[in-house]
Amino acid sequence: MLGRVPQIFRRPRSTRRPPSRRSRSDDRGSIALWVIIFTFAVIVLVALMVDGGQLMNAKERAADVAEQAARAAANDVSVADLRAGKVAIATGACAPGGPAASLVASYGQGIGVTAVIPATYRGSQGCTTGLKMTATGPAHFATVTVEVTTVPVIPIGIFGSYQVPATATAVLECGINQGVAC
Amino acid sequence: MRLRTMRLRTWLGARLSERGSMAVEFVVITPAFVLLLLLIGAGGQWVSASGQVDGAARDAARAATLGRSPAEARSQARLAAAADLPTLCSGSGGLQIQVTPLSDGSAAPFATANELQVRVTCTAGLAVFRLVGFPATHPFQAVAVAPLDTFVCRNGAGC
Repeated sequence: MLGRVPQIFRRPRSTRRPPSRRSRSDDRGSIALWVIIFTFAVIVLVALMVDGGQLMNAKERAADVAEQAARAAANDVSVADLRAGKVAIATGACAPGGPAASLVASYGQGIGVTAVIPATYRGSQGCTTGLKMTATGPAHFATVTVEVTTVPVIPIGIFGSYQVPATATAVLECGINQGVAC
Repeated sequence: MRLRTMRLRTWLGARLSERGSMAVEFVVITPAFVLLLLLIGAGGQWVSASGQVDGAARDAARAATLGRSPAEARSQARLAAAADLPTLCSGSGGLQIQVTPLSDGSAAPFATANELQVRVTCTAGLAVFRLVGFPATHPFQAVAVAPLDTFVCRNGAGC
């Protein structure tokens, strides 16, 4: 009679785990792990979002600095040439310490803003002046490239600091509202 | 028989107590999730505010250079910045604008300066994000510079 007892009843009791405890231990901690992964992902996303946003802000700022520096350079009309009856941008407009460089340096006095005019940018000079043809005739212009360096929230890897360039050109116009190239 | 019923009872009890444990854990965790979402909102608000203040400083500097006197430059700068930041600067102190005439990077009288530096300070309210460790208000600052036209009379007396 005893020899025919099914296998399951012969198993020693000590090896049998209560089903409740097993399933509970399977569940426990699954949320905790999920929370850790989720938190990490959110923090990375926030850093990306803030740094990406700062990058866009830096792009706008670089564009503004470049525009104003180009205007400053184009504004530097040579007085000697004016007295000789000609209009031209002074040769020192793009020089170190000249109006464009000085304006960019004044921008750098801002809060956490690092802006520079690079000596060369993509094969051309960071600041150039010259004469070009427009619809109303030849016009004196100044072109300035500015690089703004961003300050990252998390200075590691892809979140690091970037140099954001922007180029702008200003054209010298004669008169206040005629808008005639000179 | 007695032993068997007891085991059934403990098994049932365990099953019942376990039911909904995920939900309970979620309830405990939810405030933390809300804080994380607030953190995202706070980051976005921060970047957006600093961008807006940058833009206001830029416009204020450009507007200020059109003034013919220091007072006019200041009022033009304030008008331009206030138009750009209608609601952001709700903290105490609000919107503050400082116009500094510069000549080649150092302070100079308005009449002989060749650039204007405008510093905009906008104290924005971030009270919603205090829960995630942000201050109640934060002064966002931006500086912008614009060149003054060389051959323009700026004596402030109507020229």
